[in-house]
Amino acid sequence: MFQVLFNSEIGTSPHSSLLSEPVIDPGEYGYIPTSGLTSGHQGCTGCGMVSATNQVLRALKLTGRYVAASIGTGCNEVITTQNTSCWGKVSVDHNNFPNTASTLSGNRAAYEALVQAGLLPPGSVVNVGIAGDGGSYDIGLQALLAWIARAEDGVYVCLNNEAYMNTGIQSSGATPFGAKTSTTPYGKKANGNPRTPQHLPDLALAAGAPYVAVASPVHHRDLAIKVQKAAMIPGPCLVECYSVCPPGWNTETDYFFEITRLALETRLLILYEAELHRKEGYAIYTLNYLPDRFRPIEEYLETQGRFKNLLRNPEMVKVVQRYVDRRWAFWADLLEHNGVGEKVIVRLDSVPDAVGLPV
Amino acid sequence: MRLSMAGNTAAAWGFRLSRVQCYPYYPITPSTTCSEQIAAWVGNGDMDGVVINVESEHSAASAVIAAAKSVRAATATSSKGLLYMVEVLENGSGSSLPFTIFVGNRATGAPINIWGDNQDAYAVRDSGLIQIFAANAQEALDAVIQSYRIGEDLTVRQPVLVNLRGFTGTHTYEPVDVPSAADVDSFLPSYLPLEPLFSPDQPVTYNAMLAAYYYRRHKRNQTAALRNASCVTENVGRQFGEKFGRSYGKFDWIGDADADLVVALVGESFGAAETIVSHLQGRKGVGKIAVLRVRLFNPFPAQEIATRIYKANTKAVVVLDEGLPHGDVFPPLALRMAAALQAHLGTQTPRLASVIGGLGGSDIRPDHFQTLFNLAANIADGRPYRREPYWLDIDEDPILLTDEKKVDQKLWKRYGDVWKAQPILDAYHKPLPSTNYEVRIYGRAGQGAITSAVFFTGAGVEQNLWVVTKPTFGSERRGAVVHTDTLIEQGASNKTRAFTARQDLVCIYDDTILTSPTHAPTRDLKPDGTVLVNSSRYSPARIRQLLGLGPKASVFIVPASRIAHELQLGSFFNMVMLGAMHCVCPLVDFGAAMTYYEKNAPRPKEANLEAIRRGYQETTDKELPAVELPAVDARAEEYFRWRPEEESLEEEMLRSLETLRG
Repeated sequence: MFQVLFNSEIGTSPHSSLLSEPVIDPGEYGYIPTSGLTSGHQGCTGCGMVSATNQVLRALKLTGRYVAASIGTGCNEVITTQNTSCWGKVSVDHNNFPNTASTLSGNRAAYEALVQAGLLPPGSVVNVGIAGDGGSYDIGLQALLAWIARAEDGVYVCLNNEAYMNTGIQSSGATPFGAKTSTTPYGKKANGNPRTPQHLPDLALAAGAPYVAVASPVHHRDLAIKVQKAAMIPGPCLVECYSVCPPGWNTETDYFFEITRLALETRLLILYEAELHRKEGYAIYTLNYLPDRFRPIEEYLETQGRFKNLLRNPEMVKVVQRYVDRRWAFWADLLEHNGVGEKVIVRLDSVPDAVGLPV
Repeated sequence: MRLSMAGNTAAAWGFRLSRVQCYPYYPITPSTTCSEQIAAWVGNGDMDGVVINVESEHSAASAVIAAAKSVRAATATSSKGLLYMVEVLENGSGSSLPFTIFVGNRATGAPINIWGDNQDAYAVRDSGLIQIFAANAQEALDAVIQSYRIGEDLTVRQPVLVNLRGFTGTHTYEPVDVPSAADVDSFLPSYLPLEPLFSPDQPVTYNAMLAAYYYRRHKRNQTAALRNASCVTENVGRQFGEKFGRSYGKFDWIGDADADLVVALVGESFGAAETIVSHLQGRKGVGKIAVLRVRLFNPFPAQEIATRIYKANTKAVVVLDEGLPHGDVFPPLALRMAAALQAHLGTQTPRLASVIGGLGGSDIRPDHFQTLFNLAANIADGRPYRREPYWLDIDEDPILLTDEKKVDQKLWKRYGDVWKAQPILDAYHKPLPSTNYEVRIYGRAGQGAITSAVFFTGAGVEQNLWVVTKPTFGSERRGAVVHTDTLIEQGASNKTRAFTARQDLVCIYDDTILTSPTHAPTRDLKPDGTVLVNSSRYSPARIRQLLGLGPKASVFIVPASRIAHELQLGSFFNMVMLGAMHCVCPLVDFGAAMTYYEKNAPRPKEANLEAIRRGYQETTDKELPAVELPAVDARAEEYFRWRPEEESLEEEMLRSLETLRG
């Protein structure tokens, strides 16, 4: 393991310990006046993934480099390429389901060869891989971790909507505990997904990725800065995007923003970034977002039909709450340093009403 | 430039001369040394390009397909590795991307088997790749260069698989003419990606999702592109011939132009078949015979083959497949042949039988083809024959009946009548004369036997001799007995690769092998052959006695281990044996060979060169003067001298008690 250091400041900054120059800060609202995906995609209303892809592409264009995207098979791919392409002024290489990272690798090598041959200037292209959680946590994990192990330059964006939504909501390695999917049903013996999800940024950091981050398409500035950092930091960088999926999660389509906010306030979703100084043996963690108030996990679970049955089982809810609290405890030192440490360790499930905590 | 090299190295040369720019690879036997060679060249700066050490063949295929959108790309694989690529491979053909995969063909198991057959290539015949089967190292090199011309042709734009049989092809050292880089550059223009990925002016989306209307049209175009490869292969093969003097087509027809009996096959076994055709052709009692060797397996040149067979008015075709039918009527080549002939010739179709052989490294020897031509002659005679595949070298299920007692009784009920109706025609079984000089080296793995054979081959090739070395490989690790065969062609130059397995010279690197009943090292020594042994303890007379050699055989010894020890080479005495081989085999001139070794000898160079010289000088057929070897450790010496049969159990127990007491 490496030594864990915490950035004493909470929030998003365009500076990075791995970059000599800051990346472009798009300002408070994170507006980037370029085009990402063009019109015509077949995504659902309220899809988090489409918005995330759009913002990722815009952010990558801020680097001034040409974007070559290697995309994995999945919902995002089929809704943007059927009989046409919605990728605008971006080259897209869709290969297969499991090989987004190795396709990225091949494209990076080809680019390097063209640079060697003097046909393209160095640093003129950013190679990005975009895949879903199924293509990253499950079938593509081998290729992804091996790509990280090879320490090749590139960006990998995982659009995490927590199940195989393209094929009809089957559980993946990222599906939350107790969630109902078509392969983790509720029944006399089954209680939804029995597994707690894996956490890809942890895996990537352990594999040696210099930069990993969790972002959300609702926090535009944060996402834009993280994607730019991932593009500028040499080596294999990973950005995971929390992606709301209305049909998969069984929610209303206009709850995109609210669901994300609840995920953050219940602390199920933590926006953070980690920079690994691999040779030095330490990693710097930065917490990017501290909610104004913390809420009990039920409030998040209640927004989604996939947790309907979980909510009927108070023991299972407690399991989720414990999981959330323990993961949040990772940040205890940092919070204490910022004067919020004491209050965080409150067992929220014992408090019936929502608890607001001043920062 | 003629060099001695193995098939894998030849394929690597093909990639190097084709100026491959991206080479992702994952090691798998037997194609590994191709990738090792590329990595070494890129590491030395001899080759420009980017290699990627991917974590699996799946990723190698993914990366090669990705890279082919921008640059000339390649990889190499075998067996399960190719099967692991299958999921991705169709993206190459479906996206119209030219790149080349060199395949060292190997069995696919289970049971696990690392040796050669064509099952891996057969398994991907539905992946839309162009498939060329090379018959030797030279063809592999040439095919790799041509593969880029074929695949990158504007009417084709499809990936190519260059196949060469594992070990007997990929690891056989043979003379290979390496074309100059300038000549290859003028033959093969640099890669032009039609839809480059890194093109800000023209963004492109590869492998978009197409619904039925577009999909069926796309697939029809893809199929047409693959078919176009047929005549492009022909043209490129001819132009290659004009440039380099070695022409290639879709298939070869060796033998009588109007052959009644045809044996069809793909790949490396062609060498053995060719030898038998020239041996049998025109003999009394032998019909008109030919070998049809299919070079372009995919797209299958069905019409051309059918036309050729029709013109020859062939009566019987026997198809040899190094792969399985897996429940189909015939294995893939036979199936294609049958379909091609039936579709194009209808009622004029000759009779066709299928034979499965060479599985998992099983030998395909010249004499097998004598049996196949005999079978073809019987079939052409109108005798009954099987409509399902025959098998080579299955004792209880022979192709032609030699011993009724050996035959499986159940099979006898089924095929007895067929066997009885099929005579063995002596004219076809005239033994192949062993006119070439064959050497077999026995050593223990780790003693460098193969290395010395490879050096010997290199020196021979430098002297413009046709020398071929075929090592055997397996899971043997250090200390196990291994052997390697070398052939020096004499007389007319046929560039033969066919070993008769009857040796003129047997070199034994370790005198403990002399008495090994499992190896019986001189079993196939010709009566007037020579035996060379590394030994300080046995006299030539004793060796003659131990091996039961006849009076015409000659026996030489060389104290190679001792010489290596004196030269401080440790246990690396293979260079001494190399010198000794020159002493007993005059076919490769020693003086000229020394200049080759001076350039190429491994480090420590001087000591190794001296070892070769001393090996040459100190080889003798006389008894060696007894030399007292300095005892390193008296107890160890005693331990090694001890033989279990010399002691009774009680003595052994007493001895071990004594040892315990110190």
